[in-house]
Amino acid sequence: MTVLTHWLLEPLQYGFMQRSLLIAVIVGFICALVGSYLMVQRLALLGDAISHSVLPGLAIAFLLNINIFVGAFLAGILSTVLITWIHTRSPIKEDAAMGIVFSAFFALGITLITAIQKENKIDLNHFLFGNILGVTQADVRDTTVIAVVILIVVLALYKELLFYTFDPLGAQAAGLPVNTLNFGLMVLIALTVVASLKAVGVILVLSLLITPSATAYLLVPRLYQVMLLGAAIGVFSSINGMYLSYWYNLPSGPAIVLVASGCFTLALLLSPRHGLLTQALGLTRSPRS
Amino acid sequence: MPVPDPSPNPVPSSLPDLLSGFPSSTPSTSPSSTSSTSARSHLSAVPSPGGAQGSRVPGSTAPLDPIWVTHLSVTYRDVQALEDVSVTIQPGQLTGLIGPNGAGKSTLIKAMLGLVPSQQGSVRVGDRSLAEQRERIAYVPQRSQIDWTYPATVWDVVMMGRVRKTGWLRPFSGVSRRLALAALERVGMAHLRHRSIGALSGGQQQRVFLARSLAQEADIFCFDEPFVGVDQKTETILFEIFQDLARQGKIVLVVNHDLGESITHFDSLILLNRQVIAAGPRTQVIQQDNLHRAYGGQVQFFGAEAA
Repeated sequence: MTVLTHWLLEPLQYGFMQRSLLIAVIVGFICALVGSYLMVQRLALLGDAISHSVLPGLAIAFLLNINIFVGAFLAGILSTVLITWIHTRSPIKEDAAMGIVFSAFFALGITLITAIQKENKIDLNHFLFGNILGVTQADVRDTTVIAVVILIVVLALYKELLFYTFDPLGAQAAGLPVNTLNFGLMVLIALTVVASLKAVGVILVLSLLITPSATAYLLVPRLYQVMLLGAAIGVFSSINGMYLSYWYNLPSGPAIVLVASGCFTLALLLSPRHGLLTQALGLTRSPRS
Repeated sequence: MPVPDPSPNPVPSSLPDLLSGFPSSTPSTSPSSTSSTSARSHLSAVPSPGGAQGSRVPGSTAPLDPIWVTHLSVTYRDVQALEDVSVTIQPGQLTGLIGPNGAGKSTLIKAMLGLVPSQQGSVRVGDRSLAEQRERIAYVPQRSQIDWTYPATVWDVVMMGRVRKTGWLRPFSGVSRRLALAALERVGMAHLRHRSIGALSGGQQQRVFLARSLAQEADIFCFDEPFVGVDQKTETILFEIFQDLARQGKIVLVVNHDLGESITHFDSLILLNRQVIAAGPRTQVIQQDNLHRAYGGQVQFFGAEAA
């Protein structure tokens, strides 16, 4: 017992660990919430696209000396607008448009940041892979504000977004402003990515968006349950990842992602309804029963 | 976010009750119940239960205006999907939209509702365009357009029919829950309301969508290929309810692929092959030369000889 208490409490005496745990919990929560919408719309790649696309905005914001979160957010939104524009105005399909736009933005971002970091204290690696141990009080504040905004929007628009993501045509025919709803979703995703930059970086944020909600999807049948259980799994992964990172000196972002992936693997094998192992052993509860 | 189980509530048992907005057994709680609209809606809640074949409900609301489609043209990139379509869809009739594959049947419905852009023409009901009156529309897309692995239950889907009426930032009301439950009972799916939609048969999925459209309390019902891959029981229920809706003076437009016996359930038909080949009462449309022009070669058409 004392060993466990020691294991849990020792890291908390450091301010940087308190802050990074807090950030990790918030990020794990909102990523699963928003990521549920990506997963049910089969838009996982869009999460990847937006997260890679924030880099140039971040660099430009740094150069112009404005809040890098603002620059990153605007670049993320710009990339979704470009993706939509390309695939509605040309015969190019949506997945190809995403691939083109996000790799171009990513390349531009890397180029800009590499050029900037020669003279400034800015580290490309921190944006690519996160730098959760370096979060400041201001980062905690910004992330909390973004998380509260996301939570309010998700709660306020739950029934409309459920209708729209399930049956976009039916929702449009019923008179819902589907373009606005879709844009709102893109804004939510961009905000989530921006809030997660410090914790896991642009490359691994996709994992926090998709993996916890996909894990929950294997276990529960309704969207709000997927969101809640996904958020719980996200928070669980964040906390465990941070402790593993502290005690075994692992990189924090990857440790969080590995815990989340472990949860997913367990659900994939053992889910009562969809588990591969449960099915193989004939233990599946039929969804019809 | 979670929707509590509605079962303890009293439930209107007949479809007209369901469509009138309030269960007729429950007095309106609205202080404005003397206003003309709610007075009319109470009148419409006094129907003949399934008796009067073909006639309007006595004392029903003022008859709906028909849908006027004039010179509608739709082009997808380089392909002309619809060419100068002009047709009128009357309320109080069950109207079938038929034609060969690729004739533009789904496109016509989507263009009418403004879900795909049209290059020319207009679609009006009364003095306004139909796309501006979407709160009056219940549209059920083809089953193949829906991701049936979506994490939602039967109940979730039917409640989607209440989203627009409920309005932004409001939770679903008790009335909405009663309407949804009554709609599910009408289609024989109430006992399965907690089931995942992915665990349903094709016919059951279609009936859930029908229940959703009933819960919308719409005036204009558009169904895209509702009979594809459904069982006989579902087909019977669908036609019963379509005819019921028509009898109440609603506009009911159904895309139908099947030219078999089921065609005789329709009052009017629109025969389409990118243009309107024929439109009007069923017996006038089902003529050998019309069918020949729509389908090209010989086609087996139930009742073509009898018509």
